[in-house]
Amino acid sequence: MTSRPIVTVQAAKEGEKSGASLALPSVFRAPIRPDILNFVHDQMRKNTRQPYAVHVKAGHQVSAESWGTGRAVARIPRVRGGGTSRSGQGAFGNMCRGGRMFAPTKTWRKWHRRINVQQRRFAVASAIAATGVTSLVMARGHRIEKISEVPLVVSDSVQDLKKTKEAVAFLKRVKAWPDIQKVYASQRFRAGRGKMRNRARIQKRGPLVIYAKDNGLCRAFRNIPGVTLICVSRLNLLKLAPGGHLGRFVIWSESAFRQLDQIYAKSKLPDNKMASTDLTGILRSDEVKAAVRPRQARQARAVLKKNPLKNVNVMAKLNPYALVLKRKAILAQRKALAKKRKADAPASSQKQQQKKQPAAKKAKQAAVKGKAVKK
Amino acid sequence: RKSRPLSSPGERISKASEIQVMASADLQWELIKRNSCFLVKRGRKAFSTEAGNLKCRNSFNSNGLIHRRTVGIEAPTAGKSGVVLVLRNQRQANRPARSHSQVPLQRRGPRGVLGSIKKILRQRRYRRDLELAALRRASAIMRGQRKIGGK
Repeated sequence: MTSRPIVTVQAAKEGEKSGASLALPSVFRAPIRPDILNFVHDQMRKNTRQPYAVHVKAGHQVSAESWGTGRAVARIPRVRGGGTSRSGQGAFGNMCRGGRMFAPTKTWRKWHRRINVQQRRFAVASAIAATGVTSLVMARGHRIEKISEVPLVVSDSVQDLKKTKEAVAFLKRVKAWPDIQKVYASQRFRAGRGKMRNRARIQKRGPLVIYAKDNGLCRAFRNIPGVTLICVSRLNLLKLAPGGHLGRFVIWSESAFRQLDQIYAKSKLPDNKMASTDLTGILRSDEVKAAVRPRQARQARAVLKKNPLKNVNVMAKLNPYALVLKRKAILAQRKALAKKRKADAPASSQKQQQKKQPAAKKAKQAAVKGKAVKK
Repeated sequence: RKSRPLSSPGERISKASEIQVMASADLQWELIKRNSCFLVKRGRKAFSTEAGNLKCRNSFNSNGLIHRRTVGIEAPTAGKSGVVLVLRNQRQANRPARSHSQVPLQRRGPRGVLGSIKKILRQRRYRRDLELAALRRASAIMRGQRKIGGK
């Protein structure tokens, strides 16, 4: 029905030829629904919980009775007896020191959640589809700027890797190493009590390697920080979308990639609500354009009224001659000023001239006299 | 501009040679706008720190990840002047290694660089809406270079 894009298989080992082409499995077309995924993820995460509760008898291992009224004390049950500081102290209440807590936690709390099968499958399909979108994987924080293709499919020889060294070499070869470096950089201590509860160290998630058959691959990769390994027949939403966030960086082995089509036969995949999500494309399409009236010329918006008496440009719009008048006035003013300056300071300028060049002037005068005499 | 006809339900047009982005930019925006590693919320504003974002703003138009064409302006490696223009290869959206082409611009000084940016974007009709932002960003980078040079 549809022609699907081609994905090239990358070589996992040195000297291997890459380039086998696989059609993209239809899972990658599944609708990407973060809402469903988030819900299912939340529910799934509850399923590994271990119950916690307060001891059944906590706060009640004391025979305390209220003293009743009339003894100028609060009516809270008090510890009986004497001879110890504990006697007479309040007991049983959640507000009392050594009393039971409000609503003591019980082990029969509902810890686990069941999720509808269809919802689970929808979520996993969404998660897989999201791993095929470069921008989503980048936005999730994976450093995939250098990898050759998304989704990243490598030849099956990756499943045969036995040594961690080889696994590291493979990741570097495939340009996935920056994501591991990101994990190294993120290794830190947890904030809070988790430190005391065997959860001291935390780090980011790195790539997820999905394989069809483990021929040593798990042992090779398991010591590399951040790497998670799952088999394609047991796809786990908690691994595909850690934190409920779409777009984990996934490295598929070739056979795992091929198996996706079998696992997700077309009929099992959820429908898209929108045939085309390209909103911009839809709005520009011929069908929409045909139904829509032509664009109106830009409408003139209300202009803030400015006072022409204060604002020259607005005045000029109303009365162009005003500019002429203004210019005349300015020039006239300048002239008047210049005249005034000259009139104001003739004496001082003459004095300055005498000071500056007395000899010259005298010589000039003498020359003039001389000429006059000569004549 | 060419308008694309609506595709029939489920149909995607793709050639063997051309790998398409799986989800449209609009869909990706809906997924990314509230939650992404590049999102930074400060001062009641939302910023976005991915590479191809000229304004560092968290908005559909500015975003550097989701569109077929993005414009990035970056400072060159240390010691060089000018600016590096980074354009996205439209056909290589699913191939991160090949998805960007870098054009180093440094000749003829800042004005030349700005002129080159304008020319490249205009000739290719490439994200003209980002032209001014690109020029501004390039100017800012080069202004920083000027100070160091001035010493």
